[in-house]
Amino acid sequence: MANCIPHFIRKCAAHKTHNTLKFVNMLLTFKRQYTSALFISQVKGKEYYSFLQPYIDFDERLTNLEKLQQDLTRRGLNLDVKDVKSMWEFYKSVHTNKSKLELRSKEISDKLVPLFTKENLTTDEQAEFTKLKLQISVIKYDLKMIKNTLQELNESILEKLFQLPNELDGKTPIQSPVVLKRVNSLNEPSHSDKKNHIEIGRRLGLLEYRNPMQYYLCNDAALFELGVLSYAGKIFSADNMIRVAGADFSRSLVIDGSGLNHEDPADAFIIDNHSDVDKNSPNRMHLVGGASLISFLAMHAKQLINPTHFPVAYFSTGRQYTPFRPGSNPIGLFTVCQASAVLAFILVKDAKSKEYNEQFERLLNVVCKLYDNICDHYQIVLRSSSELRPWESMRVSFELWSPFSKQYIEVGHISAYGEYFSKRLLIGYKSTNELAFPSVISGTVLSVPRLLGCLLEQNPDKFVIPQKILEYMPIDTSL
Amino acid sequence: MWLKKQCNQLLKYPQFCTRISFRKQSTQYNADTIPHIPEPEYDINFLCNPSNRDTIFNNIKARKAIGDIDKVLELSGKPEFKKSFLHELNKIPNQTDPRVLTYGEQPRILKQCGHEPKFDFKPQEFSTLATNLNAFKSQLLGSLIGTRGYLFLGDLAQLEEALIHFTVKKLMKHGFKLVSVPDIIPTEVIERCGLITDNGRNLVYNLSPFYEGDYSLSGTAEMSLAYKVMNSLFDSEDLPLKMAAVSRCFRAEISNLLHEKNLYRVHQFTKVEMFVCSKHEESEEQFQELLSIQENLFSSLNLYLRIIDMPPHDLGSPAYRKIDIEGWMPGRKLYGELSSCSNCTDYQSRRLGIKYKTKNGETLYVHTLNGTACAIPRMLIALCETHQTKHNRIQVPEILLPYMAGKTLIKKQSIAKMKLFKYKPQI
Repeated sequence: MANCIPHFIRKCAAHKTHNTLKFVNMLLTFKRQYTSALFISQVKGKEYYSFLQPYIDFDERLTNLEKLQQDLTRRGLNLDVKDVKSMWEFYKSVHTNKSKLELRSKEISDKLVPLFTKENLTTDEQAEFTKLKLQISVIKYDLKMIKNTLQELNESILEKLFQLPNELDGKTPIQSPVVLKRVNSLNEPSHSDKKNHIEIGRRLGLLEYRNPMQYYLCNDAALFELGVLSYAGKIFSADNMIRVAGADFSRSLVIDGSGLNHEDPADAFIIDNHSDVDKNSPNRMHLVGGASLISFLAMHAKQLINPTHFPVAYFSTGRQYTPFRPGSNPIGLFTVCQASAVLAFILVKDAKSKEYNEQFERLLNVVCKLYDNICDHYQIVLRSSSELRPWESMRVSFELWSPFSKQYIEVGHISAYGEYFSKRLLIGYKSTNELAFPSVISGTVLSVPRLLGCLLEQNPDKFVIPQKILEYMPIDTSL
Repeated sequence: MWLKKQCNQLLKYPQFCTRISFRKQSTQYNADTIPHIPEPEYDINFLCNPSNRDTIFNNIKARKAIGDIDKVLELSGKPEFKKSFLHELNKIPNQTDPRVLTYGEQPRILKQCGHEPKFDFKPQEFSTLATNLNAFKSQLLGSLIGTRGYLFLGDLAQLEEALIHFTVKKLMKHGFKLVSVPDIIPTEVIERCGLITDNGRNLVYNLSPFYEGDYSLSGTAEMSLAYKVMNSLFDSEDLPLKMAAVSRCFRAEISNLLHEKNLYRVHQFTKVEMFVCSKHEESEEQFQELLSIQENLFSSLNLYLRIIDMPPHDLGSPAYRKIDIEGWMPGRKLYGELSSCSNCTDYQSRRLGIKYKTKNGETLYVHTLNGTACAIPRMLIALCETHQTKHNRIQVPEILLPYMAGKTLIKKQSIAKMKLFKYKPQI
């Protein structure tokens, strides 16, 4: 069946005005692999309506095919944009046909209504009446078919188009990552046998690590966790960012909107028995944590923001829950499922404006202030296009050295996302009565377990708590 | 093939980039061994002694519990029914403090603390007060984060942190050790703590079976802390072991009661919890200490409180005695439970293998105790309703000022205004 499809699309392209039903029917048997939570979906004969439907911008995305092709290639994605465009054009043509059929159906209905009410029809009228009735029954049948087809196409084409990655920011390097800044130089301890942080933490009575799902921070490590979050809060508040204590749960449609695969339990934790969720519904409940990007997206989804309030700048300190992907290698605190983290979230009116860059720089500087006071040495790295996740257009990492694994570990990051999330999750504003979408700058600017892992390895004999953090730990310093 | 191939390519793509790419995949990060959950060791000598039958029967009756002592006696000593025997044994609740048994069905108010706040205006309920200050959002979020989902914004979120730091600092002074605990724990541990259901209501959110092992979301740090000390054998000098934790708590129970609407009963919240492992002879003393810490913490926030000894049928399975502190919520015009303090004696330790060696070499099960030090949502309700001003703002209690960057009054927060975005896709 699948072999027919290119032919089918060419055929449709050649006969745009023709009824495409018989071709389209062939797609009905297309095997479904994924059910989007963002679209109206049918599962086991029951329809589930999505709370929101994304803004569709493929016409815009497919205007500059060359740029799109370049972006895809730079991300290492082997995809021909011409084929993507054909898929989209085909989808649109079916839509156009549906609109035409609807129009025609209305025309005939309009003609039929007076005949229905009229008594004693003339012979001509009687013939006309029979003809129109036949026509409308054919059109209604066609309409029903085309609606079913569109439903299938939503799942086979539209959902796939929605998985196109974000546009790349001009600053994202193509080949390899670029170190933007290195603060102080790496001062490697002279110990020849370097210990890993699990062992160091255990020896110092600070860490009990069992697996990526289960670990305990004890004594000073637990106080450090609270202290570092509190200090980060102080720095962000001083920069007029607003603190939010967000929700831990999120429905699948927000997960889908964020670009993750909501059906993949390794992308986001799935709760099995949430009372809000119908067992068969594709829109399930997930555990993500309040200090997560998804939590902030949920806060803004399907909202029109008053444009006078831009830029909107929030932060959150709290939990982040990310499943451990089976098959990957657990590396202690660097790959744990539960992390206390600091998340920043900024909405800027226009991705093309100077303000977008300024806000990114502003956040970068605030986060530098944070790192300046919690470690001696760190580096800031601009990630290359192949390292980005599909929803990122640019990413800057804050990295600390892990002496045991002999590599820099990303402890925090800031990413630019452009209009990717706002279009998918309907976060908008009205600009002189025109609908517009704000751009998102956000990032987990600090993950406490990763930071702790690096700090422990850097000082294996004693946990040296940075002075600034000590001041924000809930202990009586006067003692 | 063409379409399928392209689609698959797109589908696979999001998984291409892992969250963090490690150049060197090290296998040398060895974890501590994962503890094996031991078989429970019930107090068979007591439970299967027919001369205790009436005591146990009356205890079960008073607690309105589900256990059946006659079934236990019937199955005891029949090895072929071992499984059913253990199942029945597990259903027998803890014993009850004799003082509590005399209460019948009524809770006993032990003490009233503080003064009822007086207002020369009509005090508002928390949700009205805080929503109008743009500091709390709970409306229209259900489709995105689930029913009873909520957000604290600006100074109210800061107040949450202030309460946590204030509480933890106090607990540190009382010799508690702070532990940061996992919020996702094996379901089995929750069962062993006796906290899976309450009167048939499911209290626990389970994760999808995908996550290798049966995991659930912890309803209180008590479970994670008990899990931490599972299979331990302490020296008597190590006791009491006093631990505190700040964690997210997840509760699946639903309530349709009007007075439990909004923030009063939510599915997720932050809580500071105290957990103690104690010698038998000291557990009563430890219980009183937990209680006095709670009283002291809440009183210093100028709340009007009453301390209530809970009657047998409110103890659940694990508690031998439970005392709640309720705070007056002037907006709701009701008392609301702020904290709970339980002595579970050896109910949990027998199910999790937490033991100690006495000075004369005897091995005993520790007594476990737990108490809420600060459960954020209800604490905020009591605090904000008590300290609201005539102009519908919230006065920060003096003791929290050092944690609020000097902010004395919570005013209207400058949160971006938003309204529902109605949109139908146009193609």
